[in-house]
Amino acid sequence: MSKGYITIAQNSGDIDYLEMSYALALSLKATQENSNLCVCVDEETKKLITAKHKKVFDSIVDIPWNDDAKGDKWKIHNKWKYPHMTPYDETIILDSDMIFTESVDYWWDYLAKKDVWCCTNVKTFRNEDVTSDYYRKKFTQLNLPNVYSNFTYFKKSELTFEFFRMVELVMTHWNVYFDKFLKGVGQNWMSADVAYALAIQLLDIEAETCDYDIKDVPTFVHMKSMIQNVPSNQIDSDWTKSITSELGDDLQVKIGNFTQTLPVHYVEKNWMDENKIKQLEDALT
Amino acid sequence: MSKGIIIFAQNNEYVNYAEQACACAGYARKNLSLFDEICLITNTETLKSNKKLINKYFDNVIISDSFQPDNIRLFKDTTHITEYASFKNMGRSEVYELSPYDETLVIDADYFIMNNVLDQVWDSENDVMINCKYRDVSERHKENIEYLDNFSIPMYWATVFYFKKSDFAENLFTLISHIKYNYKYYYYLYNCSGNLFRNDFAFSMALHILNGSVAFDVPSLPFNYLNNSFDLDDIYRVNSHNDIIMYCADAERITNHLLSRFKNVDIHIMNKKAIARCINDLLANGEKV
Repeated sequence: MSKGYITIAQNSGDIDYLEMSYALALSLKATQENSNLCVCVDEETKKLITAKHKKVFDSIVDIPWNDDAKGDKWKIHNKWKYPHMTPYDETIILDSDMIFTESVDYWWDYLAKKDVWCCTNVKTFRNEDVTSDYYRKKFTQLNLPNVYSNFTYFKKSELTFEFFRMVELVMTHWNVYFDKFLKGVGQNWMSADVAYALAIQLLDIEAETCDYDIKDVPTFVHMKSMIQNVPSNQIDSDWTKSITSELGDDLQVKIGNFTQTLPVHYVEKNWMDENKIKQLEDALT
Repeated sequence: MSKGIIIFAQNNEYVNYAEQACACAGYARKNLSLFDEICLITNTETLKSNKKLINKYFDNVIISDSFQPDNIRLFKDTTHITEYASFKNMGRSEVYELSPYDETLVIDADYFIMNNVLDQVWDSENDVMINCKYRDVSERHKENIEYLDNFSIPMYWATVFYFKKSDFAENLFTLISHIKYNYKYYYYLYNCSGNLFRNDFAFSMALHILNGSVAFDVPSLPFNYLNNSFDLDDIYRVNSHNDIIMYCADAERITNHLLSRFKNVDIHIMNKKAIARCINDLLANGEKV
């Protein structure tokens, strides 16, 4: 059974998702035994791929059936296509603005117990379970499954295709589903998390895809500012302006006083810069 | 394996810590039974002026006259009185060297043991046990974990802790000592607030470093929370060796107080003047039978 990670890299404005995917791939190579990364690209981003990318991307796949995110700045609209794009039997979905710090290879066997396993618990930089619903009022209000789409495991199965078919419907007919199921407080824009959560709720597969009792697998450090268990008036909406951080030459990520041992979703795109990429490259040579 | 309870006390111009330590020793003796000795670590001056009382309440006295640099602290006695005085708390890191016991339970001179739960620490598999979580008995502090700073590490309370002679404990106290002597550096590294050297901070930093600077759980003492009565509270009445009634400063209006009774539960009473006002009752309830 082949296993690997998958991410979508669609450059948007001045945000270089391809370069972040490159950094992600380097960090996977540096820390994981199973470091396969499939990167899914649109036509424009594909033109930017160079030899250095090909060297570390296990697979480069064209996003099929047109680009649903064309014209949108926040390119999430193709996130229903993963099972059609992945070359692996077992896949973990990642966002490109993530970095791996230590091996989580042992998670794979665990995650294989389900056809689809959605992450439902994330951590602060201090490794505390996130309890704030600051960004998730809609989840609370509508009692949606508390899923974080950017660490979703799936294997190719009937349930998987049924789930992603539902995600496709929600994403491609967002206005219809929003009006019917999602009106109320909180966000009115489409996010992959809400789309995945609604699909799970509509299919009534929460028990099959989520496990709220297990807090530590799968999980990641989620660096959105207002969920860091720091008083909201003390932290900037861009966490990098309030908390010191560094990538050491040993590739350890330190945020505040804490060495990170879980995958880190750094959110702020400028956190990954040329210097850090150079450090990652140097560590692999 | 020898088992001892150790209390530190060095008098300053504001508090007679020695007599408070005697009261705490009395409460420990009345409520715990599985230890061998209760030991006081103090300086020559403090011993000289309280010798009779100390000999009555302690099985063993160790003199440590190590230099104590100025560490000025604001002492509060409810909302009415505040006073700055020297705070002689720098000796705590020496306890590993000074303790004559294989297993040691260290308690502050304002920590009143009122049940036998701490008897469970002896023969522990853990090298060190200390608590991070606390409960403010007045509920003014709503959170049960304090951080050295909003962005920093959780604070462990050096008010009461257990250690056994072991490599881990030795490393811990060596590191605490290093932090003490290089406190400015660590103070900035960990974003500390206030100017006071705090053992709580030094212990927290040392535990954090020894655990690889990752998030971690240190084994806690055999209770979930420390019951902390902060210095805005007062003692109303001492009923017995396991029963104290407190005036707890109202969370909504701190000049108002609510009566709360603490029976069969340990309590950390930070208002030193409140202890001093009730010292005769506290000493009487802890007297050896």
